[in-house]
Amino acid sequence: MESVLRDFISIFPGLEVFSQMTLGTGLTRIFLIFFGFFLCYLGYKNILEPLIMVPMGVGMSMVNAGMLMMPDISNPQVHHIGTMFLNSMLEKPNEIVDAFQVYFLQPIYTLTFSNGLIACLVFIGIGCITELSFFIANPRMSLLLAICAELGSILTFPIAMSMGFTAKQSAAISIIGGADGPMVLFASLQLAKELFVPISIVAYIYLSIVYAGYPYMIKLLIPRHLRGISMEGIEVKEVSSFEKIVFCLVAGTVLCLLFPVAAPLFVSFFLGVIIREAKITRYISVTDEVILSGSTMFLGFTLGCLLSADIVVDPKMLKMIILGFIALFLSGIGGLVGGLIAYRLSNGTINPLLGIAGVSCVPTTAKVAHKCAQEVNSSAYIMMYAMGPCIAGVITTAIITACYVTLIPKSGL
Amino acid sequence: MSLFIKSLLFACNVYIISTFIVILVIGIINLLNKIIVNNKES
Repeated sequence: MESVLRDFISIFPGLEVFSQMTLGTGLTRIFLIFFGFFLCYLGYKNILEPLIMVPMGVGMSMVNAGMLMMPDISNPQVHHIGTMFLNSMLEKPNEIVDAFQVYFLQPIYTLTFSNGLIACLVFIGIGCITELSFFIANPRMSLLLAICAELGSILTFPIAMSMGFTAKQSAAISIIGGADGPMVLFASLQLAKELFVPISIVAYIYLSIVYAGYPYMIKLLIPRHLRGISMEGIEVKEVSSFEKIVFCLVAGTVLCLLFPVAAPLFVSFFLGVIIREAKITRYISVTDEVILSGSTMFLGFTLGCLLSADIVVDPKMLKMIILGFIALFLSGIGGLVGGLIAYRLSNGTINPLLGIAGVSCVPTTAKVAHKCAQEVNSSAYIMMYAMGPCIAGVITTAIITACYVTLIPKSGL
Repeated sequence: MSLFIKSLLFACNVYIISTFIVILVIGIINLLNKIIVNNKES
C-alpha cells in the first residue's frame, strides 16, 4: 500500500518534493499558501491595498505550491529544491545569464529589483499623481510635521542594533518607519542586500495594514473634539505650475548635490511631478497607466514569489516583523505629537490629524486623516491640507535614507 | 559606551542633519516664493 502511494506521489513532482521536506518547512509552505489566499482575499475586499496585495497573495500561494527538484545552475549534476519562478541567490554574471533561460521572472528581478529600478519607476508614478500646491504654500508646517513623523526611522535604529543586526541592516530596517515602499526597497538594496527580500515583504505588508491600524491609534491619542477641526480658517495660496516646476528643479538639484547616493530617487520623484505640472498629456497617461500600474503589479507579484518557506523560517524574520511594527508605531506617535504641537502653535486652527499624514505612505495616511476627521465632523474636508505633510514625508524619508546611506560607512558602527 | 547608546547618538546625529536639510528646503521654497511673487507683482 505504501509503495503504491509512493509511486502515485512520484507522478507529481510537486507532491514528491513535499514528501522530501522537513516537517517544519512543509508546514510553513502550507501556511504560506493559505496566507497568500488570505492576503488576496483582503485585497479583493479592499481591507488591504489591492494593488499590492492581490498580486503578492497570488505569487506567495503559487510559489510555495510549485516547488520541484531543480538542477543547480553552476553544477547541473547537483539537484536542489527550487521553483521555475526565480532564483534570488545568484551572484556570478554567467549564472545570472543562464538563469534568464530557466526562470521566467529572473529578467524582471535582475534588471529591475537588484538595481533599484523598480523603486525609481514607482517613484516617477507617485510624482506624477502628486499635487504639490499645499506643500509649497505651507512648506514650514508640512515639513515640520513630516520630520516629527520620522521618529520611527530614527529610534528603531538603536533598537535593531541592540537586537543583533549590523549598522547597515539596522538602517535598512529603520526606513520602514518612513512608510514609503520604494524608499524601503532602495535603502535595503543600498545597505543590506542580503535582507532585501524579508525587509521588503515586512514593509509592504505593514504599509497595507497602516490603513486599518492608524485610525485606532488616532482614536486613542487625539480627543474627539480636536479630530473634527475643519481648518476652514486657513487660506491656501494658489501655486502656479511654473512655481512647482521651479521648486522641483531647484530642490531636486540641491538634494542630488548633497546626497548623490539617493539621486536616482530624487530625480525620479521630481521628474514625475514636472511631467504632471508641464501638462505633457502623453507622458502623463504613460506614467500613470503604464509605468506606475505595471511596476506596482510586478512589484507585488515578484515580492510574493520571493516569499518562499526558507525565508520565513529564518529567525531574523521574526525580529524584523517586531522591528517593522515598532518603526511604524513610533512614526505614528511622532506624527500625532507633531500634529498636537502644530495645533497649539496655530492657536487651534490646524487639525492635529495632519500629523499622521506626515508619516507619508502617499496618499494612504492623508486618506486616514481625512476619514477620521469626517467621522467626527462631516464638514471637515482636510484631505487637501493633509496632502502637504504627506508629500513632505516622502522628501524627509528620502533625506533620512540618504543620510543613513552616506553616514554609516563613515560612522565606525 | 554601550552599543545602544552609541547607535542612539548616531541616529540623533542623522536626525539633526536631516532637520538642517529640511530647514534648507523650507528656505529654498520661501526664497522661490518671494522671487516668483515679486516678479509677478513687478
